[in-house]
Amino acid sequence: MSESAKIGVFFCNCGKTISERIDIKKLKEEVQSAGGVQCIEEFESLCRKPEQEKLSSLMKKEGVERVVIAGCSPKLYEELFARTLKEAGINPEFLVISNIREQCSWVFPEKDTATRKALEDIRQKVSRAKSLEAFDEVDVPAEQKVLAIGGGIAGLETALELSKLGFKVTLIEKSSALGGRTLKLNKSYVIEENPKDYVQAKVDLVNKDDNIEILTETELVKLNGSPGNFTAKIKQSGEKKDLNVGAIVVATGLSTRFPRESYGIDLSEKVVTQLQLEEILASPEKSDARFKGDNKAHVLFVTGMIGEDSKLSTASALKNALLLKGKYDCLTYVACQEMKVAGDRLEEMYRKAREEGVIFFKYNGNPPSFVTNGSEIKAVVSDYFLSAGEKGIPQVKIPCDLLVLEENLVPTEDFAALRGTLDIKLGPRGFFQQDNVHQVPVKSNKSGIFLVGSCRQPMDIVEVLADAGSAATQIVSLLSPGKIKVNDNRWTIEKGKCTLCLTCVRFCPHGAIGWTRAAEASEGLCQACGVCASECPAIAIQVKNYTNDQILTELEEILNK
Amino acid sequence: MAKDSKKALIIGGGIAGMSAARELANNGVEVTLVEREPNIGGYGARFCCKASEECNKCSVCLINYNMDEIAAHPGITLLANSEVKGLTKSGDGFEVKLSQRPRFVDSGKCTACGLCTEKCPTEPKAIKLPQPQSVPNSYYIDVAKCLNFQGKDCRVCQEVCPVKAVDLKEEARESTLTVDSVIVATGFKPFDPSEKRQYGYGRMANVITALELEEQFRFQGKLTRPSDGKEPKSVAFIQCVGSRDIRQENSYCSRYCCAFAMRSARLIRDRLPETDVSIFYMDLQSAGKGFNEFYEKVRKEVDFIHAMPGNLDETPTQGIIIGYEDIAGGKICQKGFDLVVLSVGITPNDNAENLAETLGIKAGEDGFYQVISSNGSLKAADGAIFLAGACQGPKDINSSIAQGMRAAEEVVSLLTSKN
Ligand SMILES: Cc1cc2nc3c(=O)[nH]c(=O)nc-3n(C[C@H](O)[C@H](O)[C@H](O)COP(=O)(O)OP(=O)(O)OC[C@H]3O[C@@H](n4cnc5c(N)ncnc54)[C@H](O)[C@@H]3O)c2cc1C
Ligand SMILES: Cc1cc2nc3c(=O)[nH]c(=O)nc-3n(C[C@H](O)[C@H](O)[C@H](O)COP(=O)(O)OP(=O)(O)OC[C@H]3O[C@@H](n4cnc5c(N)ncnc54)[C@H](O)[C@@H]3O)c2cc1C
Ligand code: SF4
Ligand code: SF4
Ligand code: SF4
Ligand code: SF4
Repeated sequence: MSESAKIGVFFCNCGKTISERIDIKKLKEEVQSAGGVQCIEEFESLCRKPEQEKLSSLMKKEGVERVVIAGCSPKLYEELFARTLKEAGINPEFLVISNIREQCSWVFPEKDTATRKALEDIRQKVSRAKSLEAFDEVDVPAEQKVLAIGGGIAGLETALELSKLGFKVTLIEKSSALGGRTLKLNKSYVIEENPKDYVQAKVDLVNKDDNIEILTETELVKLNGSPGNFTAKIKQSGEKKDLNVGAIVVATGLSTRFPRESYGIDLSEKVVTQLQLEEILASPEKSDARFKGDNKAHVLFVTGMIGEDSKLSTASALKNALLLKGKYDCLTYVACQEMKVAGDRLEEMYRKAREEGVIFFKYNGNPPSFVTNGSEIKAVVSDYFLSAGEKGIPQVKIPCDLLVLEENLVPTEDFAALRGTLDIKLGPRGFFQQDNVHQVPVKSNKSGIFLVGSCRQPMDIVEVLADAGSAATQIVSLLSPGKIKVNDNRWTIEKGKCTLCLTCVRFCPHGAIGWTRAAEASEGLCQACGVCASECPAIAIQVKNYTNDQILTELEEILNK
Repeated sequence: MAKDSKKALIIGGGIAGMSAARELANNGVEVTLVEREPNIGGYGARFCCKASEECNKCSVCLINYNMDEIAAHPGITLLANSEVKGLTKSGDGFEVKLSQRPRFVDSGKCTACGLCTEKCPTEPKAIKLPQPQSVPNSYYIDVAKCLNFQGKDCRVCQEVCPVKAVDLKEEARESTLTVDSVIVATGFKPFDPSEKRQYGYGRMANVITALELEEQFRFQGKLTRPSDGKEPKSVAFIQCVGSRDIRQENSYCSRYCCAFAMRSARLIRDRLPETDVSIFYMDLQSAGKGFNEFYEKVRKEVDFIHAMPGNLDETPTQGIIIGYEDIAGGKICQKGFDLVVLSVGITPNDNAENLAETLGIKAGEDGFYQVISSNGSLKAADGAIFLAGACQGPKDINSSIAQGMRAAEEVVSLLTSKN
C-alpha cells in the first residue's frame, strides 16, 4: 500500500449529461473532506483533446502520482486516459475510472440517489488507487523466426508471406513431399488455375526462398517456452534437434473418413468418396480409362447424409457433375438434403448444372438408400418437391455406374498427440479451436501459437489464403518490435500453500501454468485473466492489484459510511 | 513494418474497412479512413444483439468493439461525411482528392450533451446524433430539415451549445492526400423488396424488412407490429427475398440471411415466449462452425417450412395471410401471421459504378467489385488498390472481417517488400 502517494480525483461533466443529474459540487466537497486526496478538479469533457492537455499539465504541475477519473464508462476512454497519464509521466497502471455516468447519472432519475451512488463509487476507487502497486514491465527478446507445421497450401502460403515480411521460417512436413491435399484435387471451384499447378508453384517458390528452411518427414515432439522464445524439439528420421522460434504456425490440415455406417454400403470400384473421385479426375489417364467410351454412364452424387455442414461437398459435387457431363457425356445426378450455395460462385454453378441437364433431388429428410445385386448398384432416391399428397413421395430408382459419396472431414490421426505437445484447445468437432470465435480467427488460446487453414475448420483454398495472410500479419505485429513486453510478477504463487491439486493448471484458459514442486506460471503466456486465483482452493495464487486484501478493502470502503 | 511510415487510404468505415484500418495501424501504417455517412460502422451499427439465453454468435457486438477501437486509435485519422472525388497515380502510390461535406458541428469540440437537439424547434429535429453510440460521437445538422437552410433566421443551436461547437456557416472542405495504397470497403445496399410486389412491402404495414427488425430491437429494445404497436403473436420470416432470384437479376446467395433468420427467431422466442415463429425457405445455408448443432436447437423452437410463398394478403382478422404450397401434403395452404419479416438480400451499393470509374476498378456482371485475378489476392487494379467486405460480394460479418484483415496484410506485405 502506498498511503503517501499523491492522489488526484478529476471529474468530467460530460457536457451536461453528468453535471445536470449529479451534484458535482457536493461530490468535490465530500472527497475533499474525506481527506487523502491532494488534487481535485472539474472538467467539461475530458474526452476532448484540449481538456486532456489541460489535465496533463495540471497533473505534472501538482505532481499527481495516482489518478481517479470520474466520468463515463471505462469501456469508452480508458485507453485514451491511460495515454494521457503516460504523457504526464505517470504509470498508466495507476489510473482508476469511476463510472458515474452510465452507472449513476444515466440510471437514477433522482439527483440525490445518483449523487450518493457516485460518492460511494468514488470512495471505493480512491481506496483502490491508494492500494495499487506498480508492475515491472520487462522486455523479452523476440526471436525473429517462425516454425510452421504442415506443408499444405496453408503452411506454404504463411511461410511465403512471412518471408516477404522479413522473417525466417522453418517449415516441417510429416510426409515426404510438400503440397498437401490440394495436390489431389482435379479442379477448384474458387481459383481458375489447376490446383496441382497452383500448389506446385507455391512449392517451387518456397524451395527457392532463402528465408525458408524445409524439413520433410519431420514432426514436432516437444514444445517449451512462451511467445518470442519457444523451444521446439523436432524429430527428423529419428534424429532430434532443438529450434528457437518466436511463434508457431499450425497448418496440419484435416483427414477424411468414410462413414460406412451411415450409407450401409462398402467402397468399391463403383462406390467412391468425393476425394477419390477428385484423385481420379485429377489424372487425365485415370479418368479417361474410367469414363472414356462409357457414354451415358449414370453417376450419382450424394451429399448431406452424414451430418457434415461444409459447402465443400456441394462444391465438389457441382464441379465434378458438370465436368463428367461436359467431358464424358455422363448422366449425372445429385441427391442432397440442401443445396449449400453460400460460397463464391456456387449458385452460378448450381444454375449452370441445371441448365446443362444435371438432375437434382432434394430429399429433405428422406435420404436415399442403396440396393446391391452382384456388381449392380441401384439407388432409391426421392425428391420432396415431387410429393404427391396422400400418395406420398414417389421413389426413383437410379442404376449407378458410379456412386460418389460425401465423406466426413475429420481431424488428422495424430491430432491428439500434436494437441498434447502444443497444449492448445480443441473445439466441438475435434478441430483446433480458435481463442475467441468472434475475434481474430487464427489465434489459438495460447499466445504465440496460430492456427491456419483446415486444421481449424474445413475451408476452401481462398479461405485458407485469408487465414495465412491474417496469421502472417499477427505474427509480424507480435514479433517485429524485436521484443515483447511482459509484466514481471503479475501474480504470486505461494509455494508453501500450493498443494499441487493442479486446479489452476486445468482452469487456465491460456495454458500458462505448469508445475514442478508447486504450480508455476509463465509470464509470457499469462493474460492476467485471474481465473487461477479465483479457482485455487488453497488461496495460494494472488493476482497483483486484484488480491483478496485489495478487493476486501475496496468493498469495506463502499459499506462503511 | 518499415521504419519510415507508409500511408494508406480506406474508403468505407463498415466492419470490413474498420478491420483493415485497425490491422494496418497496428502494423505502423498511417491510415486515413474516409466514410460517406456522418458516422462509421456501416449497416452493422444498426443491428441488434441476437442473444437468447445464450450468445447466438451473430457477431454484431464486434461492430461496436471495432468502432470504439477506431475512435481511440492514434494511428487512424477518421474523415466522416467525406467522399473520394478523384484518384491519380503518383509514383508507386496515389494522389487522392477528398471532399468533406460540412457537418456544421465540430466533432472535436462537441461533447454530445444533447442541448442543441432539446432546443431545436423543428420536428423531427434537424440537429441530432447520427444514432446512439455513434462514432464520432458528435451531433450533425440535417440540412434538409434545418430552418436556417430554408431561409429562416434560426440559430438556436449555435447559441445554446455550451462548447461553441456549432457553426452554421461551415463550408465543404476539399483536400488532397498522397497515399501508398488504397483499400475499397464501401459495402452494400439491402435489396428493396417493393420490387417484389407479391410480398406486399410498402402496401402492408406489417410486412417489414430484416433491417427494420434489427433496428426495432436495437433502438427500441423490443419487437412490435407497425400497424398498432402491439407485440406480434406470430412471426414469419421469408428467405431469399431478392437473392437466388434471376428475375431480380440477383442470381447469388446473400449468405447472411439464413443464419440471421434463425438467430432472430431464437431472439424473438426468448423475448416473446408465447410467439410462434416460422421460417419459409428454399435451402438452409450453413453459418460457420457448429451449424448443425445450432440448427438442431433452433428446430425445437421454430417451424421450418420448406417452401417459398406465392403471395401475401392482408385481412383485418387474420393479419397477413401467406399462401404457399404444403409440399409434403400436396396442397395449397394459407397461414396468417401478425408480422412478416422479409430476409432481404445484399445488393451492390448505390453509386458503386461511379466510384469504380473514379478509382479505375471494375464491377462484375452482378454489380459487385471484382478482383483482377483468381489466385486469392484482393487486388482490384494494377496499382495498389485492394477490395474488402460486401462491396466485393455478399458476405457476413465474420467473412468481412477476415477479408479486411487479408487486404491489410496484402498492403503491409506490398509496402514492406518495396523497401
Ligand atoms: C473432396 C474435397 C473437395 C475439395 N474441393 C475443393 C475445391 O474445389 N476448391 C477449393 O478451394 N478447395 C477444395 N477443397 C478443400 C481444399 O482441399 C483445402 O482447402 C486445402 O487442401 C486445405 O489446405 P491445408 O494446407 O489447410 O491442409 P492440407 O492440404 O491437408 O495440408 C496439411 C499438410 O500438413 C501435413 N501434416 C499433417 N500433420 C502434420 C504433423 N503433425 N506434422 C507435420 N506435418 C503435418 C500434411 O501431411 C499435409 O501436407 C476440397 C476438399 C475436399 C476434401
Ligand atoms: C438486415 C441485415 C442483417 C444482417 N445481420 C447480420 C448478422 O446478424 N450477422 C452477420 O454476420 N452479418 C449480418 N449481415 C451482413 C452484414 O451486414 C455485412 O456482412 C456487413 O455489414 C458487411 O460489412 P462491410 O463493411 O463490407 O459493408 P457496410 O456495412 O455496408 O459498410 C460500408 C461502409 O462504407 C460506407 N461507404 C459506402 N460508399 C462509400 C463511399 N463512396 N465513400 C465513402 N464511404 C462509403 C458506408 O457508409 C458504410 O459505412 C446482415 C445484413 C443485413 C442486410
Ligand atoms: S491469470 Fe491465471 S488463469 Fe489467467 S492466464 Fe494467467 S495464469 Fe492463466
Ligand atoms: S448474440 Fe451476437 S451481439 Fe450478442 S453477444 Fe452474441 S455475437 Fe455478440
Ligand atoms: S439552426 Fe435551428 S433549426 Fe437548424 S439545427 Fe440549429 S436549432 Fe435546429
Ligand atoms: S443465406 Fe439463405 S436466405 Fe440468404 S440468400 Fe442464401 S439461401 Fe437465401
